[in-house]
Amino acid sequence: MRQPTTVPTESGTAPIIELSDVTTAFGQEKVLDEVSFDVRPGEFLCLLGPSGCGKSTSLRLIGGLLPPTSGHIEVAGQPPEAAWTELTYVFQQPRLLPWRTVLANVMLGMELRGTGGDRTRRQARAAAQLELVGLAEAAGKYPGALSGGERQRVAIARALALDPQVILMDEPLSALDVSTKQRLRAEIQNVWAYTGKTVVFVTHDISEALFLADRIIVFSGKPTRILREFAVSHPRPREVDSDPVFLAMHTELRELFGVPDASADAEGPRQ
Amino acid sequence: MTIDLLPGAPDRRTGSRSRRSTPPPKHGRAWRASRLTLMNGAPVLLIIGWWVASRYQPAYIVPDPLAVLHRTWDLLAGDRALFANTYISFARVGISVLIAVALGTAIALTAKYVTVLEGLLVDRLMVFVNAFPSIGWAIAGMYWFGVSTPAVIFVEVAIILPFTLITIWEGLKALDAELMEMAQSFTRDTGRIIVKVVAPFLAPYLFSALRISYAGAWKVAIIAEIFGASEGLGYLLNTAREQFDSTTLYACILTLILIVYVVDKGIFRPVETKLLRYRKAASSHR
Repeated sequence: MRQPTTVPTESGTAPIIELSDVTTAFGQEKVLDEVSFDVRPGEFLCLLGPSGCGKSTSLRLIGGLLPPTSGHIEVAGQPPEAAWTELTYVFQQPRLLPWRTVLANVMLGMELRGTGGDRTRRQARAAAQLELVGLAEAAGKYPGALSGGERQRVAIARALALDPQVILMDEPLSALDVSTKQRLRAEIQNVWAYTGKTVVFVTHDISEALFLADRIIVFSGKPTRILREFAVSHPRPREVDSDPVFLAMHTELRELFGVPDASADAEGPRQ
Repeated sequence: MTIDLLPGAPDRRTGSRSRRSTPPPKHGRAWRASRLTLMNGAPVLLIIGWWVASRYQPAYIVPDPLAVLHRTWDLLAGDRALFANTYISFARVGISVLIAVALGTAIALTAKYVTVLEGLLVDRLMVFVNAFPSIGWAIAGMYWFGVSTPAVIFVEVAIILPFTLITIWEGLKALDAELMEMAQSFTRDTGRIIVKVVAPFLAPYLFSALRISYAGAWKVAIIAEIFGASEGLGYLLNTAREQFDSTTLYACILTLILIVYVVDKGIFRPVETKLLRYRKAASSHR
């Protein structure tokens, strides 16, 4: 497994994603207010913020599913409407097709995008991704026969199968129970370390961000601005729920939201 | 009108069987034997009662069931002059069902994707065709198209259209934005999204529309053919009525019931099972 110890904070690597002064408004309501940040190749970046802030909107802007009201976005050197071939999504809900087997669901992304070669090669590729997320034996099952955590792993395999440069994850763990959540976040970390993909991960869960991220960008409530950038250079795996260093960071992050001991991850079952 | 089109239909948004009912209680041997006895015994008793009644009544009131059975055989395969009528009706029903499903799909898709038309198509047209009386279409069809096959097909399509339209509209409404967003995150090719996601999602609804409208079209066929045809099972039934030939009249009805039943059991049920096999597989794997 790769050991990503130092984050290249000032190194010469060109960013793979760049947002500069991005503003997004839906009608009168301003969601993002002149937000700027970069993502470096291979980085695990968490966008952390209270529910209903512009985290998911940021992902949709990067993915070219939504044009910004103003500002500039570049993904892999291209505007987002051209760069969508470089990235894949994992959503909060797995969004699998119930009439397809697990294997066929993993193949769906390749089929829709028209990549991955012929049927046999796609099958082989999909099987390899299922192996990676630990679901090799479930290939012939239907999503209805899987648990919530397993379904989300299928969705991750589906995203990986396209071999994208960037994977955008929109609160992929927030619909799961606590123990599944903790198991799956460790798996996401392993998959990331193994594949070396760039991941942009949206969450409102501070522990999750501390566990996973190379760098955390903390968003304010609407209209969203960046409150702070937070490098987490500690070695992995991290004991975020017991290590005093992380507990201190946890408190610090929570206070950033202005409501100590509440708000940010109040939706989570813990705390 | 509410019709339970797909009892326990899959919640295709999440892929979970959200309306999954608790498994039926396991019944004993006695229960199953009673069920079979009632299911088959009651009709047999009815036929015996019918046969007894036919001994004491004139044939135009209660015809001999064996004569009716014999005439039914003629209508299905025994007598060329008679069974020609049956298969003409069959062909008209088949064509009408295909037209109604195609038209229903086209209208529902238009209402979904040309949003400015939704009010007209759903709140006006759908309500209108749904409430329009069958007999009204039958008379109008005869006036507009004369006594002809197009008249019959027009009437059948007009009467079953609301069933297909409503079913497919429900399917399109169930196709949610989240699934479409997932598909769009992988491709910008609308054709591929339709082939890989939209069409398979709608398949059970389309099939349901086909199945409902098939049974409906047969009932309608009789009315349509009474008014607008010079051959066909409905025409035959009407002629028999005029001549007080109750044997042929009941044989026409029995033929219709048999054709509806056999096609439903022999074609529709197996296809439905195949289409929805993933649900069964999902529950048995757990």
